[in-house]
Amino acid sequence: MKGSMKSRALLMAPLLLLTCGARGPAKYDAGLLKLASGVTAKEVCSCLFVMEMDEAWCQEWTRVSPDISKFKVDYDAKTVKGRALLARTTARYTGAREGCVIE
Amino acid sequence: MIFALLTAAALAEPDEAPPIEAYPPEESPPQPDDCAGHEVWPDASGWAAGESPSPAAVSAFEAYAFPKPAPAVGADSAAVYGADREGVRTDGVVVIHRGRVVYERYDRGYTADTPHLTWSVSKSYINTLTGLAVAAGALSLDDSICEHIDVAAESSCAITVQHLLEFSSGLDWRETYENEPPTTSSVVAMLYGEGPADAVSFISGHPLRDPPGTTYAYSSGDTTLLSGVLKGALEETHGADFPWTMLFDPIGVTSAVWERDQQGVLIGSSYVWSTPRDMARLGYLFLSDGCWAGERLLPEGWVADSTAVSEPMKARRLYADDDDVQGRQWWLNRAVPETGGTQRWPDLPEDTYAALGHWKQMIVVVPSLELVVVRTGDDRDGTFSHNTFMTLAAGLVGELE
Repeated sequence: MKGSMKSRALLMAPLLLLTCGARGPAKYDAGLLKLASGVTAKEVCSCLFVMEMDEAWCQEWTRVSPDISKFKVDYDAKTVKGRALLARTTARYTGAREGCVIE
Repeated sequence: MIFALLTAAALAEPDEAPPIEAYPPEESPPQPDDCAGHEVWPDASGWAAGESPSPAAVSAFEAYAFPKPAPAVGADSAAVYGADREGVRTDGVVVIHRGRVVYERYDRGYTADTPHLTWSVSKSYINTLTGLAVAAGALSLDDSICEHIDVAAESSCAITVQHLLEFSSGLDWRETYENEPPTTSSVVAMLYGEGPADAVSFISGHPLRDPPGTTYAYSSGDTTLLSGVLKGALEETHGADFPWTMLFDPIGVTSAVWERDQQGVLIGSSYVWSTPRDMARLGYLFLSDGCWAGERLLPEGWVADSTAVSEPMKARRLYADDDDVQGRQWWLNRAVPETGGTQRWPDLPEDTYAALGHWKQMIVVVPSLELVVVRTGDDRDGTFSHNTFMTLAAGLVGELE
């Protein structure tokens, strides 16, 4: 049962991309790819600079489905750039009490 | 399904708005201001140690809460994290009984010093800050939100602080997560789309679906809008770090991180990070009726009112299961006829209440057992049972046997 649900989820992923990503949202401006890049940028930033976990751990913790996001870290600037195909989002660590924010 | 519910909501005849009372209600009898209930308090060095639970109780609890063997020494990060994301995945547990820590354990790369993302547990921190703002005279529950913030739509000025506390703003908000299309989720847009630039403007720009105060609908938008109200009411007099000066510092929380939007508004719905030990301090503040080490921080009656079933909850509910029973940003275990009479945790005392977050974060308070249980986790597949977990956790202190 669990296996068939997983297969169905994998089949649904491209469909979601087509219906949500390509045609745009039903209510909001940001499409699926922009949101995926935002999730990756913001949560990898917090994972690295708030929780202080390592990159490999953070990659697993923030993995989205479908797994279309990549990230790049600038440790000097304390920023994380998330990318999902053509969409880009940057999150910045702003302080010990404030954590990260999407720019 | 979601579209069917929205259609039903749009067609339903709204109930008449209940009258809004000042806080505290004038007819409330005077209560003795007794902060002498507890003698044991955590200090700067942490929680005092209590009596160790029985090996049998620990074994039963850990078989449920920590079912997988620890990764081998030197395992890679994916193995430490547990990349399969299946089953019960507890990151940390702290059990406080009568003011002393009786059990504590961490897993999957977390330690006692790692601040954990609390997700919607954050909402109960916003409740607490609202109580502290009331105590400071900075706002009243019947204040229009427009007394404290600029909103995107004038219609939002009918919303009061109490409406936000009780998830009854009436704003047309879609509280959906991973199981629904992300582009239609108001929460996802608030956190990762249009919201981060200016959360207050984003939230208050939603049209009203119902008259404020008439209908309960759980909403991260309501809580984060309340964050904006708190900033407007408190920042000038208490500084931008008011959560620290008013709450975290007085109760000894040192690990907290609270992420904000680009305007500096706390993301009150979702973005408190804290160690479990520090989360337990919030639970103990509530267990102690809003007092800390003999000093009253929250107004008299605040905890009781926050953990009573709200009026909108009883009047009309949207997108809620029968056992979704809320007070004011706290989940309750009350059996309420108006909501179907179903208890959320049937094996726990009815006075249990909890701050709950995505992926099964929680601060659970059981006043009748003098118990606070904090659990952080990474449960993604729905197998975790709160009732089972808490029954076994209560077993650690010899209760519910």
